[in-house]
Amino acid sequence: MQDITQHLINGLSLGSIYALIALGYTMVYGVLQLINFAHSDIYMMGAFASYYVSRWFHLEDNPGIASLSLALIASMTACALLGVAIERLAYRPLRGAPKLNILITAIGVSLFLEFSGQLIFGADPKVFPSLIEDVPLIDTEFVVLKSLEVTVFVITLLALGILHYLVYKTKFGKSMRAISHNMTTASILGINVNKVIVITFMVGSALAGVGSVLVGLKYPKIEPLMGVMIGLKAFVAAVLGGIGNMTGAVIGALLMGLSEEFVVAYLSSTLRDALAFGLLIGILIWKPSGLFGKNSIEKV
Amino acid sequence: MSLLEVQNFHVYYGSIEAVKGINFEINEGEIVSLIGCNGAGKSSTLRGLSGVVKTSGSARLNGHELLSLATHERVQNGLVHCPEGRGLFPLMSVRENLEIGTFFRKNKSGIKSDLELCFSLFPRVKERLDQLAGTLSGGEQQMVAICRALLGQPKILFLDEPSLGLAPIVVAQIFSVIKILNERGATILLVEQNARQALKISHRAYVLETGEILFKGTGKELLENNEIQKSYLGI
Repeated sequence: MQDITQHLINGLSLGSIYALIALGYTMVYGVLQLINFAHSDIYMMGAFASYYVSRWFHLEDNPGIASLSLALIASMTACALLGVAIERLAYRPLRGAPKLNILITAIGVSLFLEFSGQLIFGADPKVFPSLIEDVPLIDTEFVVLKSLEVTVFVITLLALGILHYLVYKTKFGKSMRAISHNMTTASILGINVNKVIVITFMVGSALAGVGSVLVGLKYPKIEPLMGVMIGLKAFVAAVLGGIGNMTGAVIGALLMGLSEEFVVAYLSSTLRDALAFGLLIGILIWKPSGLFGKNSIEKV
Repeated sequence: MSLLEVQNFHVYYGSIEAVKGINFEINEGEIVSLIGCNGAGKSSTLRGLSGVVKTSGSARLNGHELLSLATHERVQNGLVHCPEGRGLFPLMSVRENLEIGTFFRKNKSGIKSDLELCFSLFPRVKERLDQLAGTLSGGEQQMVAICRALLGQPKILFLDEPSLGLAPIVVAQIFSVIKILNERGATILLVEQNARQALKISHRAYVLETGEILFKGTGKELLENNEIQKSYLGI
């Protein structure tokens, strides 16, 4: 019983971080029908931005909410700016080009960021500063709840709550949903499509920025290729939920986090990554539209 | 000077030319129809003027060139397009669908009074505000689409096949609203397969065939024209 509760908490905590990253994939896919493969590297850049800001201000010396907030702001700002720059320089010139061209460009941007990262930051891993003290809040025989876990979970919920508000209550969110249904119709209703796409990239990238700080706190080792695996898993989570569907992405990510945790706990930790990709193969065979996605027929 | 002046206007889909250099104009307060068969270039003309397909030539609204503007800027200049097939967002509520048409407007009280006008024209829309647009009947969807276009404060309103796929009683209602709107001062460019109904309420009309204008005249003239009766009115 103790084990199960603990694994449940760990799984949800991991899953909620996947959700932050998966949402970026799914939002961009929603408006552009493009898998932004550079998203995982935007995430990596966020981790480095907050790493350098933390070092610069010696945030490690006084851990707490203030330091964490500063690191989060640094990471989110860097990610949002990078997301906008990528959209502007790489994707917008290809608007209307065949999808394959854009896909290849996305992979190119991803490789560019990964290896620029190695060039600039060095390929060796760095230790992410611990910005918040990790003390047990609840320590019973059933479950141990540490302040780090709680912080990660609270910040994730906060980010998801703000996102929900943005998407369902604001002009931006409504415009974004309209565009993801039909870009042409949205434009003839006076919506500035390019502006909404830019904001979508900003918001999606900023979420990845939040995710990068949280992962840095949990697993404090960062390096320029750190985005690859977690990015792929978040992508699988988005596909599992039905790419383009935001609720689906969150649920897919939670399922993903939970199943990883349980596989590691009860089977073998070597199966952790096999699970993610096994899941992807399974979805693509049996339910390519994902759990909540709509079936669409592609005309060739 | 006409409200909308279109000159040497072409529309292209890739290498295919769907509209081949047409000229027409619409004066303030008129209902003008484009009629013709499938593939004649009627909808393409509207889509080109709205800016969602590639065009060349000139189209001036109140003397300002439209074709160099982005699609959303044309809407903000008063060219509002109610598309064929209605173009509602099925997973959003009717209220949200209507709101989307007003996002670029700053004047809240203006939006409110336009909304009141819409409700008086189509009381049904008010009853359905919180329903998902995808759950409405075809006629109700068309009403919402027209309301949404009106909320965009059109100087000129493009209606593309507003009667498509609707029951005769709803078609009659839609056409009577078009007339009412026009009597209140709206300028309307109407595209219709239902040529007879369209000509009856139009001041003037143009007949398109394979991307060119074949005839033009007042609604009455065209209704009485032998050739048009044979080809388009099925007499």
